[in-house]
Amino acid sequence: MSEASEYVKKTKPHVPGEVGIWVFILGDMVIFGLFFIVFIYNRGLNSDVYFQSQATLNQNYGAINTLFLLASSWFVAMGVDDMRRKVVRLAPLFFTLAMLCGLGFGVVKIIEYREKISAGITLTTNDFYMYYYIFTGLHFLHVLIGMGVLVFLWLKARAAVQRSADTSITKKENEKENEMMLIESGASYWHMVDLLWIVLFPLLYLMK
Amino acid sequence: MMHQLLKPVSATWLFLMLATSLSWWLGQDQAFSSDISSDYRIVSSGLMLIAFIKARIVIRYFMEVREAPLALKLVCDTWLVLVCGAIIYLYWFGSAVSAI
Amino acid sequence: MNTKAQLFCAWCGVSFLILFTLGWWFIAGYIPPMSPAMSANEVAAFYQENTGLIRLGIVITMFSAALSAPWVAVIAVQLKRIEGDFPALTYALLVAGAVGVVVLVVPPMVWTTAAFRPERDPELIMLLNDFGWLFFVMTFSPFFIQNLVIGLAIFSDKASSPVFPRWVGYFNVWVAILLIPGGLITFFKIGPFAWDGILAFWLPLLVFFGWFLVMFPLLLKAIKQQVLLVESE
Repeated sequence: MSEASEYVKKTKPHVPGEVGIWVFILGDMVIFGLFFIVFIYNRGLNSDVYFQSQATLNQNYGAINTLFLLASSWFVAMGVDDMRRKVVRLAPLFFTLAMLCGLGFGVVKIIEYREKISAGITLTTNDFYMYYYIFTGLHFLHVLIGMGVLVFLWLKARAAVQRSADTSITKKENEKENEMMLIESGASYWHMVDLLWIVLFPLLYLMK
Repeated sequence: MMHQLLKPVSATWLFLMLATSLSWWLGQDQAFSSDISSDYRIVSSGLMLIAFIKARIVIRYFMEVREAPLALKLVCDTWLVLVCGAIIYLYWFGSAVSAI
Repeated sequence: MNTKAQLFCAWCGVSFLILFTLGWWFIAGYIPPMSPAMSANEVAAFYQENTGLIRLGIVITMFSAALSAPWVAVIAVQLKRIEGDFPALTYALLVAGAVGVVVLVVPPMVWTTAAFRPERDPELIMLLNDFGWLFFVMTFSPFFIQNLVIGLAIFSDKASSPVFPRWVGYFNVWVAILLIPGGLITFFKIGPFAWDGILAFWLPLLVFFGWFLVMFPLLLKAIKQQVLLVESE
């Protein structure tokens, strides 16, 4: 049952990461919420065009991408959990796996874009495709930034593993707290990226 | 290895994967029967609801907002309710809104 | 210490907001924005029917744009407190801010050129009108860099009493990203990403103005903090 004692539940409320990152995350969520609403509103004005254009989207690509991001979020959550332990072991692996999932997302996205563009579909083709390219494009930008964040998390994890192995290095308690705060902040950003796609996928690909 | 899979986050992830697969399946054409025109709208609304339930799970369990101060929990839930509500409302009544 | 000069600069930022709104919106009538889908005759009619008001409003708008210079400068002073002797981000802010003044000054000049001889061929009026709008709405880049470097500088603040709270850094990064949709107006004549669109025009505009309103009290606080620090030495 050593797992249970290491898997400590925080008894007092704790903001994941730091307050500042939530200014950004919530701000971003509000803006994407606005995007979603603008999309659905305009769709209502001209649903035929949207319906027909949507039929050309590859739902399998969209679903695979959702699974990629969900898996990457899972790996990030596991990595963060590992970083909280006294002896850090698997965190670098988890963050690497998360990065690979992110890469998978990127590859599928590029394949998808290339297919559309070579079929002559661009962001000025019609309203639906305008939203499709711009929203998935902005989201993809967030994913790319997120990959940078994952690299940062991986570097922190690796350093933590090396510290665990070398007993001559000890980190001060508040330094460790600061580090966890940064790690939680980065992880929260990545989960936001996942979250936005979870809504974007049915909105663009599935809702008829 | 097994203990990783037994963690709450792993159960969460599994559930989210299943919900995604369900949504993907529902989104396929066979789920949208052509006869009753409002039928597909119910399925689509359901897909949106599932999406926001998934989003809430990501917020609560992956982002760990479950252990956050009440204010943050409320703000996140408000976002979920407002955006989901607006989307579903406009989806059903959008043309009526634009006629104003 | 030059508290008065810094406070003057900060108030220039607020004055910029007020005068710009007065000139561009209330007098010249550019809000609500005209549609890029308008015909040349319709655009020419706007300049012919409102000539006097446009000319007057634009003078005020053009003047107000320069007030953003002292505003950026005082932010730079506070960032330099963070960066110390090698203030790269501070310098970047100054350069970007200078270009920002140009971006805010030139479009009004282009528009007032259209109003200078409104009896011109409508196609020429439309050309000038297009130029003004595109230059004004699409050039998000200097402001993006401005906000980005402010954010980065705030993140680099390791002092126990930081100049700005950390959330302000995140806020500036968020603002920077929200200015980006303006870049899309080149593709569209109607819709949310056209120069009169809700996502390419209104969103960045409101975010940009909102940024001033958020930063102003924070700046005053930072200046006060600086005064206290200097006095306690």
